[in-house]
Amino acid sequence: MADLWEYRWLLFIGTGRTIALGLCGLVLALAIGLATAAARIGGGGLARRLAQGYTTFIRSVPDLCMMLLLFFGGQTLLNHFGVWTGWWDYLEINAFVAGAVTIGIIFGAYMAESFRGAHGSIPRGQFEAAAAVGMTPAQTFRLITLPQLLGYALPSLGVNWMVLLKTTAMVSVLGLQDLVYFATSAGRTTRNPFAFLIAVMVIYLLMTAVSQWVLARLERRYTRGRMIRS
Amino acid sequence: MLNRRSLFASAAALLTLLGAQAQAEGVLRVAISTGYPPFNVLNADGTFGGFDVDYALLLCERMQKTCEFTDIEWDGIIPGLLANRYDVIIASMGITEERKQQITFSNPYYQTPSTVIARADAGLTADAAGLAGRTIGVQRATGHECYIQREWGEADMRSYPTTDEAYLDLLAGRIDAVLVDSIPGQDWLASDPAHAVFAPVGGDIYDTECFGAGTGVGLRQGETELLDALNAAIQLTREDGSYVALSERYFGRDIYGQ
Repeated sequence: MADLWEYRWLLFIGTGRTIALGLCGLVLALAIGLATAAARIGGGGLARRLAQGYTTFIRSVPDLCMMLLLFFGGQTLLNHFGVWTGWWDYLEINAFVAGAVTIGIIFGAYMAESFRGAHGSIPRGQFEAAAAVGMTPAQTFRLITLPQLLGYALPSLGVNWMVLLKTTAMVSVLGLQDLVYFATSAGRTTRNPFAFLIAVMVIYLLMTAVSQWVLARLERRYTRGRMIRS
Repeated sequence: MLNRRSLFASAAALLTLLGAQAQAEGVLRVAISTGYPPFNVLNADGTFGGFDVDYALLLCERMQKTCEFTDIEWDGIIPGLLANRYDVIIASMGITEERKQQITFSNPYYQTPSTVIARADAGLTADAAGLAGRTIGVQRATGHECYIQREWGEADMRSYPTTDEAYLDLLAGRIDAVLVDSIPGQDWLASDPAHAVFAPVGGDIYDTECFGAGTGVGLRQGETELLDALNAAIQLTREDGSYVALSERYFGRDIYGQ
């Protein structure tokens, strides 16, 4: 316990960084996911194929590989581009920005599938009714699809969020120190790994509990108007 | 007029705003990987310590540069060097043929033999016959893996992300022995009374092919100017006695080797 107390500030900073990284990654993943789902559902042939290729590719490559590929590969490409054009020899991408973007790109693929599934859950008759009363596709999306989409997608988005939060631990290979990295490093340094691992477990449990509470409230809010089917 | 070139330039400026920064003169960007006491240590106040870190500071001083440390997970340390996120790796990295295909090393700055650690009462011998059918833990992507595969093919090798997971399994009785560097190994044995039932078995092991020619500073291939400067700085620390003083402080002896 003395070791934990000694390292409390690092654990605190690490927790803050994990939460910030998770939330930034979530916002990006939701944006990318929504755009990809839109492309797959309502896009033209090319957009549809690109979106499908993206979700298939990302979901079939292990997260760690993807992270190393996007981050170090992206950096190397950027360096080559700079040297080729003569504008810079080396541009450092901030590790936090890179981590959030990488997580956003990875989880965007999963979010896209959640949104697509949710879209499929909206009864088809509603779209036919919307067309029958003369709504444009944009109006249908804004007034019919969007308000219901979140309600149907939330359970699956919630699952993705919890996996995403745990995936943030992988950013330490990019040189960004999150909660898990501080804890394992401190555990090795003090030769007291279990105390730190248990602390991490408790902190993650707390984060998950809060997430679940927020998700339950959101779900209640977004399914208020759902029709009860007999 | 907004032509393509200026568009790219503004994109570049935007990237700079996103926290990008050009390489500063007089700074040596050093990658370390904490959690490897007594070489790489994370202090409670977030600062770094250990023999590698202190030695890096000595080298920077001799090169008249300022050390700028990046603490990075071991698995990402070579990719990061290749992507130019830092200039050198000073993290107890052994000079091996496999790594030399990707990066270059300075002259070695220390050399430690390897050793097998097992329960003293297990009656284990550190040879092919004694280890056949026994489980032995190692840190993955190290020379220890190479050595076990070549010398003790009959042993059941278990690879771990770091030696600490191997030690945990050794304590838990899940594996019979570990093959580790002898200095951190001695450090581990002395770190806890519960480790007293374990002991080095069979003495020190030297092997250039697997363990390499010692531990060096890693850098990108083709950076001859930096390589020369590093080797000169290492030489200086040997000549002015600062190396021996540092090594004595950590280990009570000179670990430079031949």
